[in-house]
Amino acid sequence: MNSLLKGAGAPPFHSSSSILLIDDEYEILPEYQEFFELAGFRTLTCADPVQGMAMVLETPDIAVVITDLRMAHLDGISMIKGVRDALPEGRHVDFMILTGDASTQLGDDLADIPIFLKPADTDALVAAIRTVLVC
Amino acid sequence: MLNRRWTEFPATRDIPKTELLIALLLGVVGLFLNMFELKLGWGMNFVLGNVLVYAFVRMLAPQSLVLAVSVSSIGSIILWNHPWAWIVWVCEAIFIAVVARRTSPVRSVVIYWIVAGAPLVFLFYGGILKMDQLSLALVVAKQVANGILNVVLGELIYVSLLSGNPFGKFGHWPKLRVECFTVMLFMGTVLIPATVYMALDAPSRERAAMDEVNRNLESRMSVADAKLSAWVDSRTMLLRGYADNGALPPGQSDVRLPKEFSAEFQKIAVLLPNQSLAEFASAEGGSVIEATAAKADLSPLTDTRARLVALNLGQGRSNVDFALVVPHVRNGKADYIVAILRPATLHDLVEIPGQHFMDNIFVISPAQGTFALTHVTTNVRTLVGSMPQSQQATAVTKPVLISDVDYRRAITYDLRDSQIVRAGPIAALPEWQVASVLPLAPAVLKARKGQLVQFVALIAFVFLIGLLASRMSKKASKILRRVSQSAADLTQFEAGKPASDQIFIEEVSEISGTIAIAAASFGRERGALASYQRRLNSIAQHAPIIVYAVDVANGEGTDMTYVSPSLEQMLGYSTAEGLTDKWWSSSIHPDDYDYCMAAFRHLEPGKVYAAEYRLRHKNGHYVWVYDTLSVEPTAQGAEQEAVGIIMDISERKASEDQLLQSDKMASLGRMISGTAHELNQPLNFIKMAASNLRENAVRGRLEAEKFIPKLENVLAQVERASAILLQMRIFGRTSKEAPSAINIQHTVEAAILMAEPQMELDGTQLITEVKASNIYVRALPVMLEQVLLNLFINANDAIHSRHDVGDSAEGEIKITIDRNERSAVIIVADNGPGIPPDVLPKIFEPFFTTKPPKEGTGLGLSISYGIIRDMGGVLRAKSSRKGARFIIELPLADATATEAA
Repeated sequence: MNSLLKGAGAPPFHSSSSILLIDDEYEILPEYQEFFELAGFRTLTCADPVQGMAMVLETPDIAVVITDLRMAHLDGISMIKGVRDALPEGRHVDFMILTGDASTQLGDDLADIPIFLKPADTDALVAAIRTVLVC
Repeated sequence: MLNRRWTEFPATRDIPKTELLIALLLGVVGLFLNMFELKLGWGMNFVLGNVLVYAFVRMLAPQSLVLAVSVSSIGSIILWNHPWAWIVWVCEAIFIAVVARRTSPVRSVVIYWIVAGAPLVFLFYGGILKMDQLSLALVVAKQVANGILNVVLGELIYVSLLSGNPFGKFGHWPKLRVECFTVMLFMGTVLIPATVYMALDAPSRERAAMDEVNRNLESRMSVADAKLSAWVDSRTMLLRGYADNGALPPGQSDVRLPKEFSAEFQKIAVLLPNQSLAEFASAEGGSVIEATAAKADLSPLTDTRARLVALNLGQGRSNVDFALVVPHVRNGKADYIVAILRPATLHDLVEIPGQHFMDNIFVISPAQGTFALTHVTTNVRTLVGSMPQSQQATAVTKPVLISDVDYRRAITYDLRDSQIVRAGPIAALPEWQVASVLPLAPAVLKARKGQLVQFVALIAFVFLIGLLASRMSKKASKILRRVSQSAADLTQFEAGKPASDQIFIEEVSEISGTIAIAAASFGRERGALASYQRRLNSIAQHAPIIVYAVDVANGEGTDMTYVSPSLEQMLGYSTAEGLTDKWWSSSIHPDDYDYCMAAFRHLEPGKVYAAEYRLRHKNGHYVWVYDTLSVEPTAQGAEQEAVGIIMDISERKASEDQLLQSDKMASLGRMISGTAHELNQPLNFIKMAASNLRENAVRGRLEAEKFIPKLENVLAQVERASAILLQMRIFGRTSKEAPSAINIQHTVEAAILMAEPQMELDGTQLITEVKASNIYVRALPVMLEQVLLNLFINANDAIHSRHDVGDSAEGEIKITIDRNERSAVIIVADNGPGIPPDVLPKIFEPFFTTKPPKEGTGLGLSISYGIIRDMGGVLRAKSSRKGARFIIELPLADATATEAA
């Protein structure tokens, strides 16, 4: 496993865009936040998918949403679908799934969403976020 | 062997009072019957009262038999006035009572009369009663025939009773041996017709002899009558002529008689007018015998017939003088001529010249008496003289038997002294009868000789037939015995088969043939049975099973009564060791003991009991066995036997362990994603935290107050991961532990902990309802957890299958913990689609599955069923539209009871 800096092979990434991480296991959120900020992303976290959905819609900066699937009040896929339906015209948000369930399969309508399994492959995750943000 | 030879007769024993009473009764009835004699002529009579007693010779003890006969024979003392016949009869009874046990009653009575009976009669009748030889021989022959006939008739009556069986329910009625039966038949055939013939023949013979004597008497009487009548007529005429000549004046007696009178008369007189005969007699110095004759109303004018009057003229003389009294009329005056006869006059008249025996001719006048005309013995004179009037009257029409010896009715041997009397009127003397007496002796002698010949022939015939019958019956008996023995031991039949030409009875020959056929088929069947038995023995010896038998009493099995030799092969013990007390119960593995005892309790006929447990091998290690026992259905109360087999199931147990293991692995596979998800959470945390620590370290920002909490978080997550793995402990454990009392609630909770991650992942809720707490069962927790896990997974799958068809209602598995009186109950209910009715009966079959390949092994429910059964419990499934329900019932462990109490 490489360091974030070394692995990026690029100057620290600076963008006005933010990423939002939703996971109902709130203890891990500070670690996510620290990790993604160390990687150079502006990072928001949220333990409640319903609240997270509202945050995405309210915050235009959020360009990437990384979400767990199995959560207490709303499962990840429903949330993604809800956000996509609710997004205003012209706004694009990229979704990524970070889950511990290896058997996860998505329907055709969500086929474009990358799935990362816990424990997260941090390099691939960071690389994927970067790719999205650069575009 | 058939050894029933002499059981036919009762043994000497203590005789019950009732039997003595019955014997006494038989004796009394016999005594009564003895009064009715079967007359064989000439005083020969058969008495048959003992027949009744001998009919029961098989049922009476010797003492009772002798008692009965001694009572029934008392009649002979009464009838004949001497005890000798009685003694002979009683000796006969004693002999039969003793000897009939060795041979047949008929044969024994024949032997008795040869050996003892005939000599005794000779001794008593000849030596003591001094009987003449002819009569003695006849009496002996008659007693022999009578004695044998009694027993033969008795046997006949017994056979009739036996075949008719009117009293079958009372007492023991022994059957006859063929010897007895044959001898009885032969003897009966000879004796009965002979006796009947003699009884029918005797009266006619007797009559014939009497007739002969009678004819003789009649002819003599008519001769006497004719002579007397002619003499009276001629002398009447002569006397009247003599008186008419005036030679004899009235009142005078003329002793100087003319020649023609002096030979016959001693005196002739003419009575004076009005002189009576009695006056004349007293004038002559005597008297008339009969008063009526003395003052007879003599009326010569009306009665012109001469008459004979008995006078007693000689003083002191016992002899009688007869006077011929002739009415006479001379010169118009009636008077009587009385002519006194010389003593020999009448005798000379009726005597038949040239006859040697005495003629015994009497003249009898009812008014004047009986007078012998010829020389007679005093005996005969007395006998005839003392004949009563009625007999005298009878003698006119038929011969009358008079006897000079009175042995009461014992005329058996005194008839030879008897006389026969026949009387008839005398034409010339209406007041008189002439009577002639002849001794019966010659006729009796003749008849007796004929009878003796008959009896001797009969007895000879009886002995001859007896001998023949005895021989034949012995032979028949021997053949029958052999046939019977052959039937008893069919296999020996061919060897001991009597040659068919030896068998002279058709039916026996047929039986013998039938037995031969039976023996042949029996031989074949025995051969088949023997080889079948050999095969069974071989199976019992070499098959890896132990066959055993136990007696069952009050629903509990006792120690083994049989155990097959394969015991040694399987468990190392000899059969003798296997049959020792408590071998089985002491060889059971201590952990299996209670379970085993419970499995084989309350044994009922027709049911099958089974258990799997461990038995100690002689070497010390334990062998897993399957023991199944079935109690033979028998009548209630009868002794019952149970037969069982014990199989070595070590290998199956090992593969069962493997199956359990693979089932566990299958469960693990089904839960792996849930478990992995659960494990991935802490791993993810740890990775993030470690990554952040490293990044901070690289950037030189290692502030202790910042990374120490992080590390503590990491440690906490490691704890969390290991806790998750710890929940999955059943996958690492084997079932080698011993069962113990466990609280099922704890087990249910542990199983839920294991299953929950997967259930959560699949959106299925696990709900627990505890209706009763502190319920203990005796089990391995791991096993019960495995069952519960299987049920959870199945329920979850069922819910999923419902989701697959579009029903997205919340999945729910409800676990209920409860108990009933005897069992702990765990119910696992889901709200899936339920189990189709056609599938429901098959769900516990191994390898039955409704799931697509790779999702299930099809073993889960089958193994779960086996586990619960092995715990002594039951696993059942129910289904409705609301979902499926699986119910586990397990016997309560003692801990429950104590805690409940």
